[in-house]
Amino acid sequence: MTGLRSYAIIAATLLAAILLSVLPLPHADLLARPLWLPLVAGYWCLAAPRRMGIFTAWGAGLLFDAAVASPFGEHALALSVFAYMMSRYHLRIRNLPIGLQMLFVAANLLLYEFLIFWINGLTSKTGPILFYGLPILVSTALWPAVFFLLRRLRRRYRIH
Amino acid sequence: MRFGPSRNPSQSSLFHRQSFLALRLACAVTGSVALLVLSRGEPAGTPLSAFASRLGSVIERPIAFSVSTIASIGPTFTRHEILERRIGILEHRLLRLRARLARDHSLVFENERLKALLGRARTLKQAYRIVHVLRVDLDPYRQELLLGAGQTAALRPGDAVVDARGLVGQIVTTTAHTARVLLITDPGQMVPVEVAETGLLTFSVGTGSPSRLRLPFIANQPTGIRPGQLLISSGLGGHYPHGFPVAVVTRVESRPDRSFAYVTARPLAALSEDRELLVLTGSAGRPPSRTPAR
Repeated sequence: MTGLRSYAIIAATLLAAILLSVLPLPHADLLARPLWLPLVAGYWCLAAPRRMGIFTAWGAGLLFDAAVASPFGEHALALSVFAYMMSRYHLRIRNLPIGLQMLFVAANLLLYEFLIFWINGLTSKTGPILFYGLPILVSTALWPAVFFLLRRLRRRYRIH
Repeated sequence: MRFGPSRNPSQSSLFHRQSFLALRLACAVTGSVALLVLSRGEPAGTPLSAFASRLGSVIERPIAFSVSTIASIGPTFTRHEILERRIGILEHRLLRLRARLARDHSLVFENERLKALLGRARTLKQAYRIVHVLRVDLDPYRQELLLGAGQTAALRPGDAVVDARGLVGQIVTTTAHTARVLLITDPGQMVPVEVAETGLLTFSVGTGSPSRLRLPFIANQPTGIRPGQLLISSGLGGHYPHGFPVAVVTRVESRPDRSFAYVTARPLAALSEDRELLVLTGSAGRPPSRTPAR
């Protein structure tokens, strides 16, 4: 029962992250929109590795691809690599101070954005690589907020 | 510093799980690549990408709902007098436009008569539909709009989209309740245009910037093209109807070292600010490839 509830909460936060990424905002936000989905999926990989793994991330990535009409499978690939890195090192990362965590997240977001850039280049046209960098900075800055917010949620509903 | 599963038997189940991580990653990556390859080609061309766009429309529905809810909150909390004043202003504007329309109406009749005298085809009557915009993508590599109506509202790929000022773009894919519009400023979008003053036929190409188009095929020798001239859609190729304002020429620079001059234009449509657009659902907006020659 509590297992089912944990899955439901994780799925709800992932869905919220997808909706946040496609929500129309006033213009000029487009270049610096945070990468909500990797942040949220990454948190659950760190904190609840039994509930959230590579395949869940892959499914969420597919939903994201469908929502933003990017090449089907693009974000799924990048997000599963991201989830792999987070799951692989979750025992070390979650005990690090938040500053070092941010550094690790930034490095993995760089990998994530590079994969997106690469697949974009293979399938269609790409923009200057600079435009892929700004979301990394914004998202890294948001990591502590996402971390503490989701930790509060996790403790409240005892998701392990 | 290295921990092996054998040295830490108390956590063996956890490490056991971890040892399959690489295998799982391999599965996920293989799956993604397979999906990417299978859904290649035209948008909504394969069954898989059709499925993807149907899934996308399911996700977009709550967004469409939230957008219309947020949009309806504004008027609810606006003061009564302000609303009344705005209605007054709008009524005045409506009257002014009606008067101008009445005058133009006679011009249309006159034009039709002259065309009949010259033996030209009559202008097609356009059916149109007002659709609200859900989302604007103005990335340098993708200039798109998402409309909040789709197949159920009789929108089809190939329909031209305009606003009050000029041509906006063309619908590329539709789902039941949404439609994607490729803007004329998309780097992959070419529009057959005509200089209204001189009748010079050429193409405009998107640059990826929402405020700039390029006219790459203007010859270096004097063609009569000057900054400030209006470009209208020529209707050639059948993708866009004839006669809609597209852009105003902003810069003409002769380049003797190249084959063509450097010419840029500014689109007239307010591509990033529009909340509501007109979709021309008439047959003139259809690309010829969509009507099979049977």
